[in-house]
Amino acid sequence: MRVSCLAIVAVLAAATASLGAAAALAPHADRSAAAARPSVATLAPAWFAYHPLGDFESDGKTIDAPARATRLDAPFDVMVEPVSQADYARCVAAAACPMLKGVDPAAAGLPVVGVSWLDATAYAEWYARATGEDWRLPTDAEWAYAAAERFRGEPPRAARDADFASRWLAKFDADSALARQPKAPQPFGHFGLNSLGVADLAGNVWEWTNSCYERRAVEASGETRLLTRNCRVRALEGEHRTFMSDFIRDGLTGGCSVGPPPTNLGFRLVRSRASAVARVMSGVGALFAAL
Amino acid sequence: MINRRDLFLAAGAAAGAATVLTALPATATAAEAADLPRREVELVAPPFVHPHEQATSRGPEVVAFKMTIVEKEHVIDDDGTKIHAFTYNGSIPGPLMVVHEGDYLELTLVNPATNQFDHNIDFHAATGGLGGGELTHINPGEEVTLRFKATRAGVFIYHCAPEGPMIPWHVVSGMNGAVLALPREGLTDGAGKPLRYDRIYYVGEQDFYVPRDASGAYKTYASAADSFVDVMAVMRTLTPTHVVFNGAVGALTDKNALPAKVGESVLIVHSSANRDTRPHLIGGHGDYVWLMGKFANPPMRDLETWFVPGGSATAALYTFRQPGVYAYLNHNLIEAVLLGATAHFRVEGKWNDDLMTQVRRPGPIV
Repeated sequence: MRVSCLAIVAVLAAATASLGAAAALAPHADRSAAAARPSVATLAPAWFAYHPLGDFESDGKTIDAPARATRLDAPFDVMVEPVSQADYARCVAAAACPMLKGVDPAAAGLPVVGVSWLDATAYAEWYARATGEDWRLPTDAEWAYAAAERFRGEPPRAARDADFASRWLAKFDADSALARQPKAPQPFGHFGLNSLGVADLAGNVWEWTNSCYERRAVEASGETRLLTRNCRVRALEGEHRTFMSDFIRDGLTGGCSVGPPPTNLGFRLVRSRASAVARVMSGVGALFAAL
Repeated sequence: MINRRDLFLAAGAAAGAATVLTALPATATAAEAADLPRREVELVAPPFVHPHEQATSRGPEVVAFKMTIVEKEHVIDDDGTKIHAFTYNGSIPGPLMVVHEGDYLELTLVNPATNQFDHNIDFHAATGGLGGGELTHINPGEEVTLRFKATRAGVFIYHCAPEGPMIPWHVVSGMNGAVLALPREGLTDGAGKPLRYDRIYYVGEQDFYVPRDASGAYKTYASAADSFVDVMAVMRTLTPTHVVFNGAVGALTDKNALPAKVGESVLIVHSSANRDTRPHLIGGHGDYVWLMGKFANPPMRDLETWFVPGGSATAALYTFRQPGVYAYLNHNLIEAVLLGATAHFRVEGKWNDDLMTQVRRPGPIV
């Protein structure tokens, strides 16, 4: 039994190698995308404290998001750097992403900005197809975990029993205190690495996540209950959390809206290790069947 | 060459003679006006206003101000777009000068030798002499003192008015401001009821015309003179690239929000030297609005949005009744949101459920 287990591990390793080769040779694979393979940081499963996104209420009153111990079950890879202009230009060249103003195909060291959630999603789908790997936008919780000490989200702002107007003014003050960032995209590394080795978090690029806007009620038990969800509005993370409609490429403020808008909209991708393992396992099955 | 001071005195005497001919009461010679009680007032940068009485029991006096013209590079938006600004006293708009009807406003205008251009000042509150513009042309390294009688109560703009295309260019480069000439008895509702304010803010709306390069990015220039031809070309389109309050996008929003408290009455003076605008206070009203800004006319009541024709100022009085954030903007919402013409009031106090209540929170449709 022990011997056969070892054998399976060996076969698994071989299968992984052959699958990698197969992906590179697959008819739909894009050699240029594979050649521009980003460096990744692999994050181990862990518990972490997290104020989840969305608007929360309790007893019919608005409250700040309650802190939650959150578990990421499987390891995942996160791109060390955001998707670059050169990366994005390859997707445009493959006719899988819309052309964007200001994207320089030669700029391999500058983040692509002015990207909507729809653009970012088109890129993720193309990149996953081209590499044969499960690349996708992160969830808000995954982004928060990868950002580690750089994560700000929406910190609690007011006492639980604060009335409507004081909560409103507290939010206004907190948002107003954030400094506007200069707009020009900075070269990779400009904003440094965090403790997990992920670069340029919470700089002057806000990054799209896959998480939808939600309203939740906090029950007496402490559990939260989803009231509504709007997936035409997605969360962006950066110096602070913000929500934008999925077609927006440039965050603006003014008029009734208050608080600093995201300076630039960009993104990076993640890849779940769990699904990579699952894919390998199914590949092993196919291998055994062939034998 | 005629000495500028002689010219001023001669003109002052001529103005005195003219007023005698029209048989206006309380005319005075230049010398007599100079003998009136004199008060020197230190100006402050908008949106704030120097301390002043609202009603006064004093007789007419000479209220003396001094402004220095500052030519400088000035950032007008969050992206760091820079223009070569011309300013009265370093701010856009220039400071609000407060006097009472019948007072003499005396301004010493300084054009330091470090400046590049000649400037002057045209007061819409003044009578004759192209609003004083004809008597105040000064080159770099010169100063001039003008005195005029505030014959009418109201808010009036002032602006630079050199010659020809220099006039609009200087105005859209920032050279404009306002005078508040209060009735001696203070503001009233037109039916004898005094109206008083706890706070006063001065909002100056400003259009900018910044040239772009082939890629659409805003251009910068080594000097104002270098920018002139390109800026004029954009001005001729009549399409501003920026319409802002107090000199820059965000000058009166977020951490620069205007503070107030529930129960306080706020007088908002809004000037626009070049373009028409339509201020609106989101969540509030104009309790009393002196449309066109002249206090001999009774104020209009309960306005939702009011009008400021280009080349004028308007005063609106509002008593805040609810706490929270109010956006005060040009209700051409494209100009407000996309071009910058927005301010915030940050109002503290206790929420009044009678005036507004959220009966049911947003939630699933049942």
